[in-house]
Amino acid sequence: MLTFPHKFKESLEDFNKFAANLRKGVENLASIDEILAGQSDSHERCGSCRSCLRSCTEKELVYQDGKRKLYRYKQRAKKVCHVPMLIVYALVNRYTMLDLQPNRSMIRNLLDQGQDVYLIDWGYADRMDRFMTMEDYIDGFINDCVDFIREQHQLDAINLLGVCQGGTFSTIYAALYPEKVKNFIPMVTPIDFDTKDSLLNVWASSFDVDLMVDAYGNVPGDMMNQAYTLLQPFTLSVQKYVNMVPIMEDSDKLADFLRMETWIFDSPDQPGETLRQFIKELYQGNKLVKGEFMLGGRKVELKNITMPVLNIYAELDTLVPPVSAKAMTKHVGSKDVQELTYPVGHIGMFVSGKTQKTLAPKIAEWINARL
Amino acid sequence: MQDFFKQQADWLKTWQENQEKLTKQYAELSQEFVENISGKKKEPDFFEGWFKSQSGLEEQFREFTSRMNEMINNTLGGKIHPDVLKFVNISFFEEFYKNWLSNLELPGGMKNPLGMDGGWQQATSFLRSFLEKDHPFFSTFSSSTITDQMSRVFGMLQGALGQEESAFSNIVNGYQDFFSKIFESTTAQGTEKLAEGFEKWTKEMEKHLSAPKLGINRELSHDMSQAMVMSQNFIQTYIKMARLVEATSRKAGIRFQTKLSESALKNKPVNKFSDICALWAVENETVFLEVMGTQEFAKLQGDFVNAGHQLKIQWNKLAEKALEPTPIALKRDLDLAIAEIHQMKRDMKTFQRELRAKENEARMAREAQTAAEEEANKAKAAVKAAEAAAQDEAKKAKAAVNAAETAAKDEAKKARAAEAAVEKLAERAKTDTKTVKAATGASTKTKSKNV
Repeated sequence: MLTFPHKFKESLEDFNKFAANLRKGVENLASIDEILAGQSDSHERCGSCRSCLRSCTEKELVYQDGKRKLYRYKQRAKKVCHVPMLIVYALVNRYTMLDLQPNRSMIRNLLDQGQDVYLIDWGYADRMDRFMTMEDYIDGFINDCVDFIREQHQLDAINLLGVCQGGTFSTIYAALYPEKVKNFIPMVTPIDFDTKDSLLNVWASSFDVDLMVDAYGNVPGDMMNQAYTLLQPFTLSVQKYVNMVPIMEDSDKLADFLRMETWIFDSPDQPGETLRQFIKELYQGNKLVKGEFMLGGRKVELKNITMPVLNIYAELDTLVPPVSAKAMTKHVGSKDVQELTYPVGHIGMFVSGKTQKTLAPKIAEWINARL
Repeated sequence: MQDFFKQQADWLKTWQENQEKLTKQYAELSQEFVENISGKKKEPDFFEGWFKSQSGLEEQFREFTSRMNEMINNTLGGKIHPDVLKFVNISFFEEFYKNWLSNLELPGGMKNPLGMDGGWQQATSFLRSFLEKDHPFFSTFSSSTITDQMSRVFGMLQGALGQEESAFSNIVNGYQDFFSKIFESTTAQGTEKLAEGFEKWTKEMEKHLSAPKLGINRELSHDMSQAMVMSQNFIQTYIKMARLVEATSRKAGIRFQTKLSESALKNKPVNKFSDICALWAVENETVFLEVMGTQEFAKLQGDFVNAGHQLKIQWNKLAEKALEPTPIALKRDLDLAIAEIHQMKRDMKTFQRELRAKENEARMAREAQTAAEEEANKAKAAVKAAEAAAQDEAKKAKAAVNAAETAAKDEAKKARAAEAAVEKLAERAKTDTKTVKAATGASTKTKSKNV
C-alpha cells in the first residue's frame, strides 16, 4: 500500500523499469544461440566458437547397451588418479546437470582434480523400457559398466559416485558387490524414506503406484515435474519468472537461466516397473534400511558396504531431506564413513558458486587419501 | 528470426513511450487528486481523465504481455524444448499488474476506486485464471488434459460404433459434454452444482445401460456404466480438492493483505511491482505448504490421483474395446509383445554373461595349461642339462681315475725302479766296502815294511 506521493510516483517508475527490462529481454532472446544444457554431441567442436565455449566437457562413448551408454571424459589434468570413478546419475532428469556449462560443471572440476571420470547415460526411456526393473539397471548395466572399467584398467575395484536416485542404485550395487567398489560416494542420496521432512515422502504414502503404472505404462516426465513444482508451488511457478525479468537485460545471464530451465524440463519418462518398485519397496516400504530389500533374489544388506564412504548431502534439500541421506552413515558396515554437507538445495549442490569451488577438490582429496 | 524481431522493434518502442507517458499522467493526476482532496470538489472531467489513464495503462500492459508472449514463442521456438516454452509464459504478469494497479492505495490513505472489486483479496480468482491459462500450477489433472484424453477415447469409440448404435452414441456424447462442463467451472461451488446434474443424468442413463436395447453390446454397456461410476468418484474427489484449494487461497489472500497493511503502517509500503509479486508468492506459499504437508492433504490428493488413474484405466479399456474389431494392434497385445521381447533380451543378457564367464574360465584354464606346459618343458630341459652335466662329471671322474691309476702305476714303477737302483747301489756299496777293506789291508802291510 502506498501512503506517500513520492512513493506512488516511484512505484510507477519502478514498474516502467520492469517493463523496459522485459523489452530488452525480448531483444536478447532474439540474439541468443540455441539453448543447450550440457549437450554438444551434435556440434562439431572447433574449441573457439560460442557454442564450444558454452558447451559441455569432451567425452568419448566407450560402451553401449541399447540406449544406455557409458562415457569416459577426456582428461584435463597432468596427473591422473589411477583408480577411475564411475558416476551413476538418476533416471529422473538428465545427467547434463553435472556438466551444464563450463563454469557450472562438477565433472570438469573433478577432471581438473585429476580424476578419471566415467559416466552412465540412461537415455530416454520409451515404450520398450516399460518392463525394465531395478534389477535390469543395477545387476545389469551398472554391473556391466563396472566390469568393463575394471577390465580396461586391470583393477579389482573402482570408485563409485551415485547421484540422487542413482545414489540409491549405487548403494544397492555397493552392498551386493562390495569387492568391486574401492571407495563409495553417495551424493544427495535417499536411503531412509520414512520421513515427514519432504512433501514427496508424505504424499507417497497415499497414492496407489500400481494404478499409476497400469494407467500410463511409463510415467510421463511432465507428471514428475509437476510433482516437483508442487514442492514449492509459488516459488517455482511464479516467483522464479518474476525474478527472471531483471536479468533479462543481460544476455549471458538470460542464457544461463534458460539453460537451467531447459535442464529442468528435460525429463525422460520413468520406466513403469522400475518406478513401481522404487515407490512401493522404498518410498512406501522403506525396505532398504529395514534390511528387507531384495534384488534378483538376493537380500541387500547395507552392512556389506565396508569400503570407505563419503556421504554428501544438501542441508536445504526439499527433494531428499538431509535426514533421509544422513541415514546412510548409520546403516553401512564401513568403519571409514565421512559426511560432507553444504547449506544448499538439491540442485544447488551441483551448480551453486560455493560448491563449484570446493566440492570437487574435497572429493578428490578424500579419494586420494584412500588409494 | 532477426527479421521478425525487427518488425516488432517499432511497436515495442512506441509501447514503451506510451507506457511512460501514461504512467506520468497517472502519477500527476493522482498527485493533484491528493492535493485537492481536502475540501475541494473535483470536476467530473478530472475523474474521467484519472480513470482513463489507469484503464489505459491496464490496456497497454495487456497488449504488451500478449505480444511479448508471441515474440518469446517466436524467438525461442527451435531454441529450447516446447515444454520449456510452456513455462516461459509471462502472461501471468498481466494478472499481477492488474491487481497491483487496482490495489494501489492513493496518497493520503484513500483507497483506489479500481480496487473495489477485491484485487488481491480474490486470490481464488487469480488461481483460477492461472489454471485456465494451462499453467502447470495444480494442473496435473487440469481440465484440458482430461477432456483431451476423453475426446480421443470417445472419438475412437464413436468411430467404432458407427451409425447403428446411435442410442449408445448419444450416451457417450452426453457423458462427454457433462464431464467437460464440470471441469470448465471456475469455482468449487459451480463444479458441485454441475456434478449434481451429472449424477442425476448418470442415474437416468444407467437404466439404459443396465438393460441395453437389442443390438447394443452388453459388455460395452457394462464398461461404460463403470466409467460413469468412476467419473462420479473422480468428480467428488476433484470437488474436495477444489474446495480445499479455494479455502487455502482465501486464507493466503487474507494473510497477504495483512502483511501489506502491516508494512504500510510501519511506513515501509511495498511499492515496487517485483516486491509486491514476491510478497504475494511468499505468503501464499507459506499457507499452502502448511496445508500440503498434512496427512489429510496427502490422503485427499491420493484419493484424487487414484480416482483419476482408475478412470484413465477404464477409458483405456473402452478404447481397446473400440479397436477390437479393427486390424489395429491393441495396447494390451503390444504390452505382451514388449514384455516377451524384454524377457528375451534379459535371457539373452544372462546367457551372454554366462558365456562371458565361461569364456573367462576357459581362457584362464588355457593360460594355466600353457603355463604348466612351459614349466614342464623347463623341467625337462633342466633334467636334460642335469643329466648331461652328470655324464660330463662321470667322464671327468673316470678320466681322473684313469689318470690317477696311470700315475699310480708310474709311481709304482718308479718306486720299483728306485728300489732296484737302491738294491743295486747297496750291492755296489757292499762290493766297494770289500774293495776298500782289501785295499786298506794291503796298505798297512806296506807301511810296516817301510818302517
